[in-house]
Amino acid sequence: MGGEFFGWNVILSMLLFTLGILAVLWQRNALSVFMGIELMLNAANLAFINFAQRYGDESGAAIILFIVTVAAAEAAIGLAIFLRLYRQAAIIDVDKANQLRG
Amino acid sequence: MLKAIYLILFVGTLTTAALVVFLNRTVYAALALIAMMLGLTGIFIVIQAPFVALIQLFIYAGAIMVLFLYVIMLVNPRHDEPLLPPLLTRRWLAVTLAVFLGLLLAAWSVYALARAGDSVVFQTVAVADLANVMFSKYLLPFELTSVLLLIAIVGAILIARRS
Repeated sequence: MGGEFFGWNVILSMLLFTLGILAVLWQRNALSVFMGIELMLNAANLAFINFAQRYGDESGAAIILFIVTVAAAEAAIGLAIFLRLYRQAAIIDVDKANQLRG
Repeated sequence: MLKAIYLILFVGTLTTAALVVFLNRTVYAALALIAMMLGLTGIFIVIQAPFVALIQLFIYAGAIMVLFLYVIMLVNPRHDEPLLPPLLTRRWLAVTLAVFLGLLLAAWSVYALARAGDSVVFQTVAVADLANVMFSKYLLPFELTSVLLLIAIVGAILIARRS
């Protein structure tokens, strides 16, 4: 029960992480890049709970809570920065945001 | 039965994740990301991790994605690109790099799988055990996350408000 999917979960989390990397490298829209990061965090969560159950160690489940908390904080701050960037310079393309001055 | 459900969730999660990567409309990509998170929630339920499934559903698919959709609404990006990208673009460098990193990850996964084959344990993580470890071993990081969240709230308001 449940344990039979261990290998498939590893493969799924690997593929999701690769897709997240691809989103960060491929997309130039800042929001899409951010979604790629969320994809990678989700893949990491899957891997953590998977190995936590395999080795019977609840530390893997505890770290998911921290990952989710940090992800929420990161989303709030990052999206606020994008909003500010869009208001001040009307930029949403991460390649065009290359001037370090207000 | 469980295998069939898992297979559907597996394929659905991967398909929606691919849509997140390749769709050029941010709103559609965000909706695909929500679908992907719902699929992952299903997978967590199938592998008997209900607590993690609830966290995934409430915080990720709920709170974080609502934040995303709000910002997309405020930013309202233009749609001058086609919905799906043309096949031959300069972005193939990105694909090559991602495939390389994926292969690296695959090698690590094979290694981890080979090592995990030694032990045949499978046990679900009970919420009570999780709480025990959270409030003893990880008490300091747990308290620090509250500070982190406070900083995030104040910082987000400070950055995003109209001056």
